[in-house]
Amino acid sequence: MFDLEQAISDWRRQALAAGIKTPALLDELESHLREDIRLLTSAGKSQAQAFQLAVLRLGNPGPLRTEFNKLEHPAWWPVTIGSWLFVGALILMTVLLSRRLFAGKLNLLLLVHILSFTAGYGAAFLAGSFGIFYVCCRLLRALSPSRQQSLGRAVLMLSHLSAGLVITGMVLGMFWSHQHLGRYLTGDIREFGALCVIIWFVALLVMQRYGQMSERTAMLMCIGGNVIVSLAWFGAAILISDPWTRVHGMASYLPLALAVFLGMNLLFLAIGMAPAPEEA
Amino acid sequence: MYSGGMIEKELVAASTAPLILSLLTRGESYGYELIQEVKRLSGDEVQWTDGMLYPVLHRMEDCGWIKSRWVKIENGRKRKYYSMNKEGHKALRKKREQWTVISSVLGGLWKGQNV
Repeated sequence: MFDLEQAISDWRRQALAAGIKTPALLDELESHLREDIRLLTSAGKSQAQAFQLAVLRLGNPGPLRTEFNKLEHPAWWPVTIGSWLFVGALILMTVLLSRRLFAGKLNLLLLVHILSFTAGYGAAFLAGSFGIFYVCCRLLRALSPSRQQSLGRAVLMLSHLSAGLVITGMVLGMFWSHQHLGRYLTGDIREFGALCVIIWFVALLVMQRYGQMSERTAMLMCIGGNVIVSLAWFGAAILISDPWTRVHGMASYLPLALAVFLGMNLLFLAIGMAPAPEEA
Repeated sequence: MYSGGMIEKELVAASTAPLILSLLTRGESYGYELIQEVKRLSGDEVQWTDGMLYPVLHRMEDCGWIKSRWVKIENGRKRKYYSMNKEGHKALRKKREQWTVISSVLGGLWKGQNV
């Protein structure tokens, strides 16, 4: 028995594997495919025949990808600036931590662990910022395909980076913990937070990989990532009174700052979930 | 983006943007409808490979000639509609002038000839 929905889902996966990775574009091609199938079935073709013919008419994903690749644009300037600021912050942090390493106040394993976590959480925050930027541009109807493409590419790359670095940081932390505390996991709330971050971004990447996610969903998930990472990082630090939260009297205003940050992200999440002005 | 048809692919390629812009002056439309309309108007002489229309539409959108919006249709599905921008009207005027020149030159040359 031919299952049209399954066939379309398989076609979408094949197109994704062939390199058509932009969800909005896949949605548009799928919409076209459905339109053609509807017309062909109303003309008397069976669903299976209509599907095969519609796929044939739409064209092979390979040549289609080649055509779309010609439309590839350099990164949009806000993406470029955000990325360079991120790289600059990482270099600065590496330099500062290296000084502590050479002063003998930090061992190499711990340094790489801290760097991995900071870079991983930082990448997640940057992806979330791009998600907020996407929501604002969508609201102002300032999203051209090239801007969408640039933000989509950046968010995907940062999600990979974040998941990879947080996993690395967690594994290194487990080794450090085993060396110094005799066990791999300590039950620390920060470990739980890191695990939540990993699950969130791996879920995003798996959904993207199987083509089951729209561009907007990816952006909203990155804003959700801001909420999860801020709770995993700053929320956990507040709960366990991490020593750094007491520096410069931060303990007094950090909970409020975190609450404002969470509220702001939830607001953008709600705006992003609402239909765009033209869809309403 | 072009296949089959009686008209050579280079000519079809060159006429794609003016065809799309001209169709969009009638009101907003979506990819599938544009293809069907071109087929109908040309008596199937102009045939686009369906999927290849979309890179062209995206390029035109990047140029600021057209804009798009997703519209919810039945079953909660969405369809992407394209419509003209101010820049699109300007581009169409320019293309129309160019095509008119070519058409009148050829018309003049072929007048009275048994080609």
